[in-house]
Amino acid sequence: MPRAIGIDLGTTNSLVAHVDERNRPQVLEVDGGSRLLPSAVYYDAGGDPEVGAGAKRRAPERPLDTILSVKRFMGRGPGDIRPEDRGIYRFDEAGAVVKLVLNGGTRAVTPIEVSAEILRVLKRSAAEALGGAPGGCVITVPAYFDDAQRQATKDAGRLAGLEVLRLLNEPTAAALAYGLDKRSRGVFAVYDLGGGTFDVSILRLDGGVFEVLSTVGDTHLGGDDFDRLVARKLMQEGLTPVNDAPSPAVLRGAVAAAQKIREELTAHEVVEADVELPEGHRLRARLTRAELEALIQPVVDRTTGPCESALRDANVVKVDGVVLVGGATRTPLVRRHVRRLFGQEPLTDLDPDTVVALGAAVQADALDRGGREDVLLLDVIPLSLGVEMMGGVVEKIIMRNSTIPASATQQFTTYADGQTGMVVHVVQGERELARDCRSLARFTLKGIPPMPAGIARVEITYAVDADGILQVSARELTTGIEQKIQVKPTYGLTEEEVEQMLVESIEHAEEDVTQRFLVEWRVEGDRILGSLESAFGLDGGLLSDAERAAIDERMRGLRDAMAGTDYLAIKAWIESVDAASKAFAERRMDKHIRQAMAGHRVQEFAESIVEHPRATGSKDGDLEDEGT
Amino acid sequence: MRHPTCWSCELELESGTLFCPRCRKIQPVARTEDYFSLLGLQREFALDRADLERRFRELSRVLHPDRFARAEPRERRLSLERATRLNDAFRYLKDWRLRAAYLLKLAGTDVFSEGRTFADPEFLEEQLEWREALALALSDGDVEALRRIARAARARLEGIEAEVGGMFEDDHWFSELPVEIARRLSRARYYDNIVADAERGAAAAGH
Amino acid sequence: MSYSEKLLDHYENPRNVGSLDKGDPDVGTGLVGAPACGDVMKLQIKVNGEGVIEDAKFKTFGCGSAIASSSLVTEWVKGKTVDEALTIKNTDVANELNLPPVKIHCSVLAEDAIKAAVADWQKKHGLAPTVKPDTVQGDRAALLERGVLKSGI
Repeated sequence: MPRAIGIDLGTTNSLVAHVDERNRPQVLEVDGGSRLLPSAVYYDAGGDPEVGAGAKRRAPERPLDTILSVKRFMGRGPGDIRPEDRGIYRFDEAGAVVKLVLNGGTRAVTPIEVSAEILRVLKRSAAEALGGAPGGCVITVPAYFDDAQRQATKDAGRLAGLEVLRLLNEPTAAALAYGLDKRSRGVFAVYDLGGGTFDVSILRLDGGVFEVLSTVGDTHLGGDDFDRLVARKLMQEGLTPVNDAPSPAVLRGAVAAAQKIREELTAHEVVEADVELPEGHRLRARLTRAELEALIQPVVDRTTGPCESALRDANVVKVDGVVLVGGATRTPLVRRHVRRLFGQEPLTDLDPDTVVALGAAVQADALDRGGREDVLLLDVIPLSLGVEMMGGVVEKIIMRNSTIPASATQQFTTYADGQTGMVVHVVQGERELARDCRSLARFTLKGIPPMPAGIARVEITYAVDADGILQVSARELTTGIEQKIQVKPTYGLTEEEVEQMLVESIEHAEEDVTQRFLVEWRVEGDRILGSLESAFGLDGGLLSDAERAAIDERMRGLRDAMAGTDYLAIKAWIESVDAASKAFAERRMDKHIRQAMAGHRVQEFAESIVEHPRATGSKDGDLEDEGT
Repeated sequence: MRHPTCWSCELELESGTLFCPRCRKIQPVARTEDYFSLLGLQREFALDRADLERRFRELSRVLHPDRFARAEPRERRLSLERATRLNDAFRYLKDWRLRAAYLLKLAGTDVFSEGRTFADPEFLEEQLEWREALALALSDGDVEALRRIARAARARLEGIEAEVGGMFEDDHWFSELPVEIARRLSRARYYDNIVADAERGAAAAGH
Repeated sequence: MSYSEKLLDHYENPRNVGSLDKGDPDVGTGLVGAPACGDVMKLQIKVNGEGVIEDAKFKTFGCGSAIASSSLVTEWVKGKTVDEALTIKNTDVANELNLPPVKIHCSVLAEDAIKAAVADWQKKHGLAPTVKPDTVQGDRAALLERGVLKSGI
């Protein structure tokens, strides 16, 4: 069974999807039957983290220990985190990597670790659904994520034990999900308003080639902003007891209520709510759709600028279609806004909550199989890469919206006699001064042969790979030596740190997975045994005594294995029972078909036949040798 | 002359081979390749845009790293290099200014040397007028005027493109005309700046 | 490191912006451009009977360093003789403004502009030009060698 998976690691909710045997992308169930896993992680003092809806429910009482919207902190350095994002969390910003301080100061975790917890749950769910550990995976990121944010996402994937085949931009993933259904040709805009980020991309689709022409966005604009505005207003009007400075717990509760109210207003014109909040507070609210729209209009307006920029950068005046992504796009005001911006009714056939995960699954499947003949994704780097020159000025070396992978080279020389090292500061952004751009990394070049000043020729190559992540290499030209570069990313984890975390988490993860598999295979064993028992009841006469005895013996072996703790043994016994009962299943099939043709409906017997699906296929040739 | 050999099966190859005919492994870019040969085109200015895009897409399909996600590390590295070169080639060839500059570079003329001051007095006089009109329109927030200026500048650019195209048709352009061509490209740079400033100004003023 | 204060000062409060009458026989006009970034620099001098520069004006469209460089040069030439004005080197301008290496060419442009203005005035007075703007190489080359970027194509 295909094992590659696609993951949408969202600000509010995360999903995992795969492409099934019939080539259809499907979202898998996680977290108790739902397809959406809230991106919430609760850290209980001294216990294991809890992820999902359960964790989210903890937020009102334990707001400091429940991390919501961790995506807003990924790849951010100290001092980078905006005041409105900090919310009520406490941070340790002493080191290069920011940490969240939890459990009264007894625990500190990086956003990467928090994201890894979410990814682990998705991985487990996929393993259960697919009957085995997933192979490669594709994780989506906002198109506008910079290098540090992407690297952090990749690190989180590694920490969760995933083989990340590619990072995929969310708008591109959405286009992929739509494009295959429609086999379209033309220029499309993807308007992606998620919980925390906004991306707009302009793509050209032609004969299966998805070429991104431009991408613009805002990594701090999303549905969460709607909820905060609504919560603030509702508290002003209907919070009892009146409280000018509500505690974090009360705030959380209000925001959660606001989100529900906002969602209700999509279908209804007026919503009244009477909600109990923590600490004895109560929120009585009445909100009309018109009032909601007045509140959120300024936020929605902020999406106009990026859309116009994207069209300009793409050299496009009119698009052939608009795709909507993200739950917040269900809001009627947003849809009207999009219609006005692009002059047409947006496409909404696919569920805006799942479309990104579906696209990721398609890409994962394609990569797993060495790429598809009919589909090709050409993405771009969203922000220019530049190097800080003396004087603090930035020299741009790779322009934004360049198709990736891309590279550029620069030549430097030394300033002092005998200089053997150099520091190169790489930034990302469009501003002229380095201090106004995002610092990506400082690369230290060592080992330049000592020469008089101005003689050495150091050639530095900057390469952006298909994930949008930067690699740097350097050569000294006069001597032709390829110098080793020590790379110190400004905000990421170093290789050693990631390795360490991996080591710490691996044992834990393996135990977990084993336990899950055990449960899964026991359930499967029960099913097989149960259906065979009832089959014996109906058609026992089809077997000779010897044949029956052989099957019984293997069923005994299976029951013994199920009582043990080795899931591989259970699996092996199931296969053995299968092989032994294959002939039996075939005879049953014959019998029932004859009966059907004699006037009985096959439907009556369909269920008992389907119970043993292995009878219908001849999957493993070598099992045929196992006689009955 | 020594022929390159496949790094995987050691078959002797033609220079510039993309995939080894025997073992199908991707091969490195040859030192003699330039952006034109990479896309299978002649080294000339005239170019069919649709043809260029088609070639780019065909090659992307087989070279893109996504096709090598499960291949061995060396293949992945080579595909990354090849795809990068391909993207650079496409970027340079699809824009007439970059294409012209590239042709000049291949012929040995350094177009935009940092130290060279531009001596084109009549053109610069005109530029002063353009710039003053633009400054006036910007300070007035006159969107119509800004759009007019942008359109006029674009029309000039089209004219320069035609001039440059004509020059490259001369069989001996590389010995007789490189300076003239470089001058036209410099002029284009001025008009590009005007277009960008005018359009940005119009967008800003429109709000 | 950031832009020097002097540079910012000349950029935000440029001195001597404006025009002189091109047709005036005492006015020399230098008009130069930098194709790499699309800068345009016009520098004019008014020279009196003793060969002393009485007034100077400039109009520059380009980046901050270009504006600052031309502003500085018009300040410097006032009160100098034509020959003294010809001794102004781009390195002086660059050092005074603390120009970052990537912006050195702006100071070069200013030096060429003043030389062109002087040459224009000399031509009007039937004098052979002392120096042709393009021929000043020396220092420029050395400065370019050190720490200036050449982006690979």
